[in-house]
Amino acid sequence: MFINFLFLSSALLTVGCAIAVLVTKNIMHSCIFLLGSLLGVAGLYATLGADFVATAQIMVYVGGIVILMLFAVMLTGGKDFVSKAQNLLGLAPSMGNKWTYAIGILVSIVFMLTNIKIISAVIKTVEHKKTGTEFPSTVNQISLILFMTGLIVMIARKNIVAILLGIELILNAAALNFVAYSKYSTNNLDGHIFSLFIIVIAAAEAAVGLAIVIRFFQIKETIHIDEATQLRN
Amino acid sequence: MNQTLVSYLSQYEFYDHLLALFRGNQGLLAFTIYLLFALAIVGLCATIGGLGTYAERKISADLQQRIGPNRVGPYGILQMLADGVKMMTKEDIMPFTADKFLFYLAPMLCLVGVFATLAVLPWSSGLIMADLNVGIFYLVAISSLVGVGVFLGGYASNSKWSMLGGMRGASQIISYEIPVTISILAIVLLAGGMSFGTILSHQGGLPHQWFVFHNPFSFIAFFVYSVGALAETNRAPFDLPEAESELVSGYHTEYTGMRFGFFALAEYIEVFVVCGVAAALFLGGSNLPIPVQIDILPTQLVGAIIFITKALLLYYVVIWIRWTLPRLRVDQLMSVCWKYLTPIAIFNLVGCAVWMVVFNGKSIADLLLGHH
Repeated sequence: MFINFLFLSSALLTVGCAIAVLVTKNIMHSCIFLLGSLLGVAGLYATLGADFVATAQIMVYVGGIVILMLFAVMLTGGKDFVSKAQNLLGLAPSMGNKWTYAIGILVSIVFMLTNIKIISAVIKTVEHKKTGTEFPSTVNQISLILFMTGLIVMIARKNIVAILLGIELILNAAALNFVAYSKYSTNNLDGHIFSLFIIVIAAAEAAVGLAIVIRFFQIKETIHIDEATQLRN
Repeated sequence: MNQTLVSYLSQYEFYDHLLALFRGNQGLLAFTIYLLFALAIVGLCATIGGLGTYAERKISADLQQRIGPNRVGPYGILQMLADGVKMMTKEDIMPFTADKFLFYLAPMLCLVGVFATLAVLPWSSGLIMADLNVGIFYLVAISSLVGVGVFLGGYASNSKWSMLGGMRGASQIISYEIPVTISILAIVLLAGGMSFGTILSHQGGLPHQWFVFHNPFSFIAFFVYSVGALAETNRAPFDLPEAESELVSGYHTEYTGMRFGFFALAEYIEVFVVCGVAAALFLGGSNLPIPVQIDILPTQLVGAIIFITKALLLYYVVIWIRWTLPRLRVDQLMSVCWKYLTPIAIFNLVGCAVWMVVFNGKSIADLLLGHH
C-alpha cells in the first residue's frame, strides 16, 4: 500500500514538474520544477528497489546540478535579460515561439512512435523469457513522457540554460528505464550501474555546459541560442 | 530489506497485542507506529531547536559575563515560548518586488531538508525510524536541500544583502560538502557499511572502542568533519551567509515572522543533527559502556539518552566556538576548504584504507592491549 502511494506520488511529481519545466516562463522557476522532477525520479528509483541510485540522484542533482544551474541563471542576467528575438505567443523573450513549440511537439511525437515500436519489441522478448513477471509499463510511460518533455524543451525554448534543463530530463528518462529493466527483466545490478554512470555524466555535462554558457554570456551579453551562430567571437 | 522501527518492534510480544487491536491490519499498524514516532521525533527536535536558541543566548551571556534572558519563567527558560509566540503573531511581510513562489518555497525547502534527515538519525540501535542500507549517504544527500533553500531565499527576496548572503551560503555549503563527505567515507571504510546499524555495531561504549580513537587518521577525520559541519550549518566562524555586521542578516534579511522562524529552526535542528551524526559516527553513538542485553526496550531508552547527551555536549562546543572565534573572510573560507580540509580529508581516506589493510582492521587499542 505504501509503496503504491509512494510510486503514485513520485510519478505525479515527476510528470507534473517535467511539464511545468516546459511551460514556465521564468527560467528560475523552471530550475525549481526540474528539481521537483528529479526528486520524483529519485522516489521512483526508491520504489524500484534501487536505494543507492536514488540517493546518488538526490546527492548529485539536488546538491550539485540544480545549484549549478541556479548559479548560471544568476550569472547570466536572470529572468530580466532582453533578447532581439520576437515573441509571438506573448511569452517571455527566451521562451521560444509557436513555431518552435510546433516543431518540438512534432519531433517528440515521431520519437514517441519509434520508441513505442522498440518497446513493444522488447516487451515481446521479455515476456518470452520470463513468464509471470510484471512488465514495468507504467515506468516506461513515465520515462517516455519525461523524454518527450525534455525533447520539446530542447527544441522549443531559446534559452541555453533551459536547453540544458531539457538534456537533464532526457538523461533521467534513460536512467529510469535502465533501473526499471534491471528490476523487471534481468534481476541483477547492471541497470543500476548504468544509471550511476548516467548521473555522473549528467553532472559533468552540466558543469561543462554551464561554463560554456557563462563564457558565451560574457562575450555576447545574451544567452539566446539564435545568437550562437559562429564558432568564434 | 532495510531494518526499520516496525521490524524492530515486531520482535516484542506487545506488537502482537497491537496487531490484534488493529485486527491484523499490518499496513495500518505500521503507518500508525511510523506516524507516532515521527510526531514524537519532530516534537523533540523542535523542542531541542527552541532550547538551542535559549542555550545560545545563555551561554553567550556566560562567555561575555552578562546574565542573559532571565525574565520569562525560572532562569528565563520559557523565553523560547515567548519568542515563538512573538514570531507567530508578527506580520508576514513580503517585499513588493520579491519572487512570490520562491519566497514561499525557500523556508519550506530548508525545513524539509532538515526534517528528512531525522528519518535515519540513530537514537539507539533499535529506535531508528528506518535503518537504510545507504543511511549516512541518504543523510548527506537530503541535507543538501538546505543549500537550495538558502540560495532561493537569497534570490527571491530581491535585495542585495539577501542575494550576497544566498550566493555565499550556496557556495559554502556545496564546497564544504566535499571534505565532510570524504571524512564520513573514511568511517564507512572502517565500519564496512553505510547503515547506521552497521556503524554503531562496530563501535563500543567505551572511548577506546570509538571510531575517533580507532587510528590516527580517523582522529584527524573527526576534526575535519567538525570544521566542515560548522561551515555546512552556517555557524560561526563560518557564518558568512548571515554575517550581521556586513550583510544585515544575509539570506533571511527580508523574512519576517514565522518564515524567518522556519529558517532559524532549520538551522538549529541541523546543528543538532550534525552533532548527532558526529556522535554516532565517531563517538560510539548510543552504545552503552557496560555489557548488558541490548535488545530490550529499557536499554534502548538508556542508549537514546546517551546518544542525546553526546549530541548536546557537541552542541555546547558548537555554541562555545561561535562566541569565541572571529568570522573568516570569503577568500579565507574557500582556501580553508579547498587548500587544507579537502587534501587532508583525502589523505585521511587513503590512510584509513592503508591502516585497514596493514593492521587487518584492528584499532590502536586492540594492538596495544592485545585483543583479538
